[in-house]
Amino acid sequence: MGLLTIIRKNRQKEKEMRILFLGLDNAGKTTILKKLSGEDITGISPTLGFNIKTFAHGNYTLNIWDVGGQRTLRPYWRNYFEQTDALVWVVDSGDRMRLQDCKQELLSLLTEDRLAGASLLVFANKQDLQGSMTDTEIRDALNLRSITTHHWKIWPCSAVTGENLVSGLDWVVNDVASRLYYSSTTSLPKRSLAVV
Amino acid sequence: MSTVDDSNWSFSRTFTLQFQASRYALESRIAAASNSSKKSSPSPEHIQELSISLAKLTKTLAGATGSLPSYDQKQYELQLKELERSIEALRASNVPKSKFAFKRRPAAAADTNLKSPPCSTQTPLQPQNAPPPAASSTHLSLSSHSNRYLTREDLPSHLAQSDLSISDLNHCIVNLLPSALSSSSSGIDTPLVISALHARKLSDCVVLLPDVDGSALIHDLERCVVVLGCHQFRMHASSKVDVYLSITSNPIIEHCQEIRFAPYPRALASPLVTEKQLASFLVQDFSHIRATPSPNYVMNDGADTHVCNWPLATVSGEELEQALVRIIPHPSDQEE
Repeated sequence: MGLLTIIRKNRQKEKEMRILFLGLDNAGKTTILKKLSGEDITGISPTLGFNIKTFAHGNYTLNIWDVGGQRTLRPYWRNYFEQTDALVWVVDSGDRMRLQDCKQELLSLLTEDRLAGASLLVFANKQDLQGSMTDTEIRDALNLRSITTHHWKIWPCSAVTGENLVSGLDWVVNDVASRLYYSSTTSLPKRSLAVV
Repeated sequence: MSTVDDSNWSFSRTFTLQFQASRYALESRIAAASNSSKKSSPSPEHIQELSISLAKLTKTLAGATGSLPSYDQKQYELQLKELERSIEALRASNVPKSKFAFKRRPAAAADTNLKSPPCSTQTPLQPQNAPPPAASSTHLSLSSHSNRYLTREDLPSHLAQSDLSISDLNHCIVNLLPSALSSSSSGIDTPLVISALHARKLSDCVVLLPDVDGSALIHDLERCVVVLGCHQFRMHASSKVDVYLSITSNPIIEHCQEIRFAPYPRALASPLVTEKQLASFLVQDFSHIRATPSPNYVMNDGADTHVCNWPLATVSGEELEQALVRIIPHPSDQEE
């Protein structure tokens, strides 16, 4: 028991996850990332290309890839699929006009072989906006319940206020951990409890 | 092997046996407590008892310092730390649960999400924090008008802050500037705060907006003039549009043609707008990601030379048409 604990602890230090942030343009992918890493979120320009952020979350080192969502950039998304442990799909909850577009893009991602098995977190972002759609509305509009190929969860959040960003990340990290790293998932809930 | 080492060795052996036995006992008590805590939270006294036992164990270990091989000592310390952490977690899970598990659940659903099990899957628990249905109807929209001068009075009743969507307009002037500036006699005093803008399918329109406290997303505009301030600006599939912008990031266009950018007109800016916000910006054309300048837009740093007489007063019919003709960009303008 004692030695095993030590070995596990050491292994945990090296644990890395690769998380891919995708979504239509104007969803708030970059803003979420900057908020999570405590950076200034004013004056963020639409992403031309991609950003990488690496930070520690619980016992894990997260490598987060945030790829621009403009239509001209979407064909390049596939260059980032390799080795992805989790997909975070960010939705602008105020964007009723492009829900169909959003649904199509998401569904086509889910059929990708290289994303098979990746956990899917849907962030219903911009909940701070008056009149934004609720997570339930978005879940139904995107028909998330029909997804059987991936572990998924939808999480209402706001990149501006920071609401629910950490808890959403907790879910996805735990979900990946329970798949990849046997019996090491107990440490994260403790941490989030402390946050409460 | 000397006798001293011998006695040390036998002490260390007995100590290890006793220590491990009491540690296992404590560990299983903690496990039992945390298991039962799912049904009913453990009493604070019980947790107190556990931590007293842990303190005793820690003391025994401290007493044995020097008589134990240093590697073992370290191991035991680590194990005790682990136990301490589980007790801490037990205590933490105990406190909030008794507080809001029942009373505050509907309101604090977002918080309870934190504790969602790690492998809940296809049918996730929906957080119960769905806002009342009224929330979605506060969404502001201006849609399907032609040949109209539209002001705040044409908006459905709304909160002072909302996101705005404008769609399917042609030959319209939309003026949502604060009433002090526009001479239209709207009786609404509280300034309208727009938290995001979505615009789609406008042709031959003039849109005058104050500072939007968020992003602007624009699709399918043709022969339009757009005046606004915002944090982010994205325009797609549009042509022949004049954009007067106050922005702190880089505005972008995609699949656009014949776009002209200029700073937000001073004449329309509220006194609060500082010089910095009227500073110039760098446009990025996502349809032309090259070193050469994009053929799809031009930048007019020379400020508001195109229009000096903004249509701030309500007009209709012939006058409206004249105002539109005067302001809206024409193909011939673009050749200049």
